[in-house]
Amino acid sequence: MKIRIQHLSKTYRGGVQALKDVNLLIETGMFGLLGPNGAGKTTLLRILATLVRPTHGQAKVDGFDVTDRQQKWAVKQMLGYIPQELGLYPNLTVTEFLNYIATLKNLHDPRIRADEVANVIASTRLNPVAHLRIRTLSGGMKRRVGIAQALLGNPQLLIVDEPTAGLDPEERVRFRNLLAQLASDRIVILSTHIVEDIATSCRKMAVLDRGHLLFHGSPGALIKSAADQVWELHLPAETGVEPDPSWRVASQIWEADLKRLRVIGPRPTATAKAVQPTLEEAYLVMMGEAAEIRN
Amino acid sequence: MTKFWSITMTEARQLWRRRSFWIVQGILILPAAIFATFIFVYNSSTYDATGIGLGIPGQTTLFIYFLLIPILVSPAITRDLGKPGELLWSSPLEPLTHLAGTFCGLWLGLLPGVFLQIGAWWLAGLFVPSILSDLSWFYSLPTYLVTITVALSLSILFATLLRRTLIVLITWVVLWVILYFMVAGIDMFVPAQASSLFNIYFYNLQISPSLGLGPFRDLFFSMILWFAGISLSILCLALYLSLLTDHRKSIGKSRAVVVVSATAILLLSAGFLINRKAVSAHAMPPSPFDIQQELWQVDTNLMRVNVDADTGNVEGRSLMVLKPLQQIETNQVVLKLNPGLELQATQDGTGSALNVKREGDGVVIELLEPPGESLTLQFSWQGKLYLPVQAFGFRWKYPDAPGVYRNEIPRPPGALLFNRIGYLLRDGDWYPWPWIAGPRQAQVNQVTIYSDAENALSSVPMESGEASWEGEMPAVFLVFHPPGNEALGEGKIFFGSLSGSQQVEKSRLFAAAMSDLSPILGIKPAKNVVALPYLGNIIWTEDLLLVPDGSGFYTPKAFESALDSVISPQNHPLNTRVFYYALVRTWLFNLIPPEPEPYGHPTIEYEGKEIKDQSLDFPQHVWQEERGRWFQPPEVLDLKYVWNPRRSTYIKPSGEFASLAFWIAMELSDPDVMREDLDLMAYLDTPESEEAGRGARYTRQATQLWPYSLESKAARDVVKSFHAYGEKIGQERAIELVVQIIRELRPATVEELIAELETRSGVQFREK
Repeated sequence: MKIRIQHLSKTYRGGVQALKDVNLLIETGMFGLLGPNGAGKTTLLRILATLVRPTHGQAKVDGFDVTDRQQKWAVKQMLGYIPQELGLYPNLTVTEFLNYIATLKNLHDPRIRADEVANVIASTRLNPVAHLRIRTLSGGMKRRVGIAQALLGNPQLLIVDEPTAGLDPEERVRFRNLLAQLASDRIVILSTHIVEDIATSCRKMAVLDRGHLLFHGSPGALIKSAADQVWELHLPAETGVEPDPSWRVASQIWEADLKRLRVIGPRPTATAKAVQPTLEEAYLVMMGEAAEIRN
Repeated sequence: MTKFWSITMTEARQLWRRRSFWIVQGILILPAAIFATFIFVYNSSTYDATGIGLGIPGQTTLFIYFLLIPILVSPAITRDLGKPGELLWSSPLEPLTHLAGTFCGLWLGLLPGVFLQIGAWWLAGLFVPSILSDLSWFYSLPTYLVTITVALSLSILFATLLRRTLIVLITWVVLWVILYFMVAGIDMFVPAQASSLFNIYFYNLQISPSLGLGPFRDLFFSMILWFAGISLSILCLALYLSLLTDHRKSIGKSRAVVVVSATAILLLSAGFLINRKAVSAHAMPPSPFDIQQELWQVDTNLMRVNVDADTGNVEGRSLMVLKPLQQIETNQVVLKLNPGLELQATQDGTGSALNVKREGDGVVIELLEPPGESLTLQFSWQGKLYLPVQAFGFRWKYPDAPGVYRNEIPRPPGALLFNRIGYLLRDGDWYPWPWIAGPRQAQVNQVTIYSDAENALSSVPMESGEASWEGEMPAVFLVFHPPGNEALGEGKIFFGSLSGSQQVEKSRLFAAAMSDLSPILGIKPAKNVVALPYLGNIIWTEDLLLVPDGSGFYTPKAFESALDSVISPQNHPLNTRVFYYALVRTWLFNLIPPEPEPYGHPTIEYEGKEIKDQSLDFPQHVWQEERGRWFQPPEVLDLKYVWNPRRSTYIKPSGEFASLAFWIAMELSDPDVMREDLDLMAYLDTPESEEAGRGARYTRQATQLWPYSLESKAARDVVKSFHAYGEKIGQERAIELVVQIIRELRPATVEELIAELETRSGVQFREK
């Protein structure tokens, strides 16, 4: 199964251009989508989820055009979608809600539906709250319900928009692992601000900025592209000794009487030594370059 | 279908789990609970149902429910326009299925509320007989269902357009209040829709215990069709609008949407057309421009009529000799004839055919030459009796009603034959007759009616389906009684098969009162008592006692305390006096008929100005276009009402005799009831009563189930003076003498009666 995106553009009413001539090929496995706010990530996902029509270009999921009036129904059939903001029915219990969504996903046989609902409840560890009304659940639990509904019907394409927002670290890791596990035989597109989620789970990724596709490849390739752009240096941890304001500091760690800094860009001092960039640093390098080009 | 049912059940479940749903239901059952508690606590079972407008269960709260429905409906629509829509529209869900499921789910969700509200009224009715519990499920339930269907679809459209529940609610309430005001004016909260197309509560739908929906059947079903069309069309509109405004949705099966839209348009058009047809089929026919009122006297009337009760066909032939009462310059004769009957052949005395033109509820006959001293006409007519119902017109009970209302009320029919039930009254329009205000009579009468209906009753014995009358024409010729019955001596009490317990009990009370009064009034009790639909008066002949069954457009004002009162064991003594009064008054007016109310000029609107009585200076086409018609008040009023500018009353001669009837009824009734009546009369003459105000006085009179004539002090003085006279010579003796004088002398006024009473008893009526 593949997703082929060709020359995809989307301009909203009012002239806001959310996507500009995006070309992508997404294959089975976990695919990360990275970019700042307003980069066009959600627009791209919503186009793939058949919720938004692109202005130009084409997006085909397993050969079905998401913009075609008839073919999009085949895409809906193989889709599991977790939107950025979950809209759940607060007066239904978890089981009732999942049953409802399962029916909408054409799981018409009551026995199969019940099994399926039970499975997703188990896999998202919702059993203790399955009989409770959604309005009584915590934010994290509601997220789990969102994930559970997306897993119903064993979708071949799972689109996940900012799924870990609001989750505690333990929950986030668990969820990330679950997605990675699911991605073994389907496409999982994960859109996130949290680079670490992508670094630890995605085989391929793309970076979007202001509607432009800046990068498409593996996380390793992105890291490689930032080689010799990340430096480490030490500063005394005394008060009043601050990094030069012109430096782009990626991180600073206090160690006893020293402050260890990682700086992006040209070598900040002669003592600074080149280090292996992380994915986050590589992403920041790329965004910095993109900003420079724009300026 | 699985998706549809899943959406339906999910919506219903969500609605039931919302607190606002139960709060609204709680608010709406409060009136029933408060009312029942009030009546129960104060043990005021005599409370007049009509006075508080709670007769039909839930009619009042349905209006409020209608206004509150967006609170319950809107969140379900606006919710899916927001975030939850992301999940719905990324799944293979058709918007049509979603809308249909949502609509049905909400409809189903609102049902418990409907049952709760009607059930509350029904339950209250078990304790408070003034609520017509019999109508709870038979009438109120369908009315509720239709109303919530339309309200629901409209709310869905509003919510789709406005997307905020509060804005939807405000817009909704403002819109309906404006619409009600535009349609019903000051009475907007009693939505008496002038147009059946707007009559969303089926307000004023007449249900007869004998005929069910009767002539309203066509109207009712066409309105159901029309409202179904409206609902479906509105839902289609909501679907199209939501597709335009919510780009996440898309249609996969466009054929289904086309089919549903086409069905909606078809239902809407068919409902509209059929309803218009039904409305015009029962419209009030305008009278001819000149009705030649009191112009002709009928000298001879020879008539043979054949009535087929199965088909409703009336076929007749008659020969009539007319004598003009004034100099006539025209060579036209205008007669009254039911619009459903066609005058097939008309000849003059020489056998020459005459041209006939139908004009509303009259026929205009062109004579070959101006009439001389007398005119002989021969007629042949046939057809089915037409019953105007003026679709959902305001049921205004008071002939002194201001403005246009009085012209909107169809008169009580003088002839009715519908579903094998009906009657042919002397003053009905089932045969041609000139326009005269008083009872019809001719110097020479010969009437023969044929009918093989098994349920035909006549004031003369029927042999082989034939009944003949000679001499004076009886008030009623033939009655086709309803099927419900129970034994009454040698005869029976007949009532409609749909009659509620209250209606049947009223027929029994009429029969019992007749039996009690007959020896006192010196008449033979009628063999059969028949409760009949749309009847405008009580008719008491030697053989038949006909009483209105409570249905119809007009409740006789003189008898409303009998027809509208609550029958209960606690009320029995009071009820007995009420029914005595109704029958004594009927007996009295049979012997001393009051001067009939003349035909009046209608009040119609012309070029924005109201044209008052006695002005005919408007062109004939306006008369026709405005459906102007002559009318005669449906009954002789006991009081004259004058608005100058406040309402004041003056007693009429008939009112004095009505008071006499009340005195007889009072003296014959339970001593406690009589004492309460006298106490109230005494109280009403005190300054305290003046201070208490008109409302308080009215309430006490209504509680005592007094006839409206006792609103007048003069009328009460008649009662008190006769009671005082009875104290002097003995009440039994006083009644005996009064009855005797009325039977023998038929005095024209009560003063004449008093003079004769003094002569016969030798006792002064009043202290000098």
